[in-house]
Amino acid sequence: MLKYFHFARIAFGDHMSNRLRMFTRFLIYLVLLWVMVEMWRVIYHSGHAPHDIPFVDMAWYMGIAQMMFFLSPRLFVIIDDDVRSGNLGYFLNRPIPYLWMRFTEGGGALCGNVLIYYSAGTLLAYLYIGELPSNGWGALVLVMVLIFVASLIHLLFQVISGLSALWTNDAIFIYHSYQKMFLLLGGIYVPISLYPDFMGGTFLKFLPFAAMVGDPCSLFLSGHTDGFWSILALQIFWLIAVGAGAWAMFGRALRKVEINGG
Amino acid sequence: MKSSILVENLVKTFKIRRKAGLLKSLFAPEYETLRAVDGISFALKEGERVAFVGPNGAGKSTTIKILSGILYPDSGSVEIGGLVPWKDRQKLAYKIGTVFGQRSQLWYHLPARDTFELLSYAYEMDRDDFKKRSDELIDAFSAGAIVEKPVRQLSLGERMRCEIIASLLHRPKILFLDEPTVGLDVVSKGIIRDLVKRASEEDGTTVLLTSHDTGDMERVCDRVIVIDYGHMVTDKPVRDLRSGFIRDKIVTLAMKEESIDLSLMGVKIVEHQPHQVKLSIDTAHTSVEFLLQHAMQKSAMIDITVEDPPMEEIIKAIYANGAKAAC
Repeated sequence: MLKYFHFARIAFGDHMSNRLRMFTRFLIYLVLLWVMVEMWRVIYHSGHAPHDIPFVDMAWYMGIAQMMFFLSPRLFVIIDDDVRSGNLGYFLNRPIPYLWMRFTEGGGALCGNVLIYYSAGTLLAYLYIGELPSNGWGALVLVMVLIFVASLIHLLFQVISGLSALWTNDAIFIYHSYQKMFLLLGGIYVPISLYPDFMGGTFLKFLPFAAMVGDPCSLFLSGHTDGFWSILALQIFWLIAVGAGAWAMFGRALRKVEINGG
Repeated sequence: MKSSILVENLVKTFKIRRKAGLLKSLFAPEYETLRAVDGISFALKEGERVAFVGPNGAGKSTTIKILSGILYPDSGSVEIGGLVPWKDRQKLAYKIGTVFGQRSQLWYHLPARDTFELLSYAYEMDRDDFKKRSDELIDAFSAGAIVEKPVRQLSLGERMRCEIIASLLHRPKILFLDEPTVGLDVVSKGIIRDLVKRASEEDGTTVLLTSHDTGDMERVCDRVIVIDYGHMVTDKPVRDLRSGFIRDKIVTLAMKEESIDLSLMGVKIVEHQPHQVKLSIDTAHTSVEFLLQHAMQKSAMIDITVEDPPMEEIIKAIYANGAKAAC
């Protein structure tokens, strides 16, 4: 396990050294935070907002839900590039499986982002929203824990998207399809409790997206944090399930590796 | 001596999509099969240095990629230290080192020393052992200053030295080098060749090297395997290549007369200047001795040089024979 730690450590250092990239992404996050909060402020002023959710909790929901997408590095781009350039093959004769090497590197970069977004991001969100969520800072910490685990699941989905390039020659449209599903069914723009009953009650429970963003952020809306452990358990289930899926896919992908020329 | 690598009837094909109309390529794509490696068999003993030579598309890189566990073959068997490369990738990784001239295993933004450290963790090296080994290699490759610079700032020759250090760090039993001198200048090529040979001699590392540059073959290897169209054309000690495949000799004569007539069977003039002539002789028709006697009858000689043709010519002759055999 020590080797994985060092791969993550080096990726963390490499990620943190690219300050311009980090700053630009962070700036985009702040713009998105502003757009989402202002959009809901307009909805609340119009009188069409849900009566049982205070604006401040909705603002925190939106702020952290958007943050989730910015925490994970764009791992699928790296894997897609490895597949298309043939670099993937050259990583296969190392004593560390390529899949976990890239996942660990993604984890290292994720930790770098966590450091920035969980400190500066939440501080700026607090200054902008003006107060803590109704459940207090404790809920904020618990949501952050869940969002971190969700980011690991998101990394695994990115690994799967990236590896799909071995079949499709282009991972971008696979990732975008996944991302659109996530945006629609994960509760990124609208809390899942506001979805039609047939979706929020049954359909979404069989998909991982709600467990990644909608359920964790709903801790801001529920008035209590009792659901934390059940959400965490569900996330761990999805982490294992998606990880097993990625591993099985990787096993099949190895036979598809072709490197011509040289 | 034990076999280090054992390859039997290795076959690898690639499917290449045929160009067709939009609908046909969407619903009923057609493929043609390219046999990149077609029944190759050979064995390498421990500590042997073997060059794997062939023109573009001959199948040499594909073979190295199969041997190093990157590609699956269609059929045939490979055994490296009792391991099957594509099945035992992780275990095999500890026994082999690889250098692919056109790829890098070094982290681009980091100094090479950081990559060495990371690889040492990947190969689970003892900390003291890693320090000793990396110091040894950095010293042997005169790379003290190079390894501290970010890889992106290194010249190709400097980067290649770091690549080879990275591949030797964990003391592999076998080193696969796929065109390690591609793109290098003459001086850098010489350095890399000498370093690889010395590292192999000191540690007893088996070396399998592919290259288009016959200098790599002559300076580093004891044996050469030539392949073409996926088939083995020849497998000989490097020193036997000349006698086995080419009967020509190059003779340069410097003489008192401005020019002399040397019309003999199998003798061709390659270059002619006043008082000097360079000839190519097919020794099957005319012996060198006979040519010299003949020339000395016509003019007093100032200097005589008899050479083998350059290795490139020999390899060309081997390819030509191989192509004929394949047809």
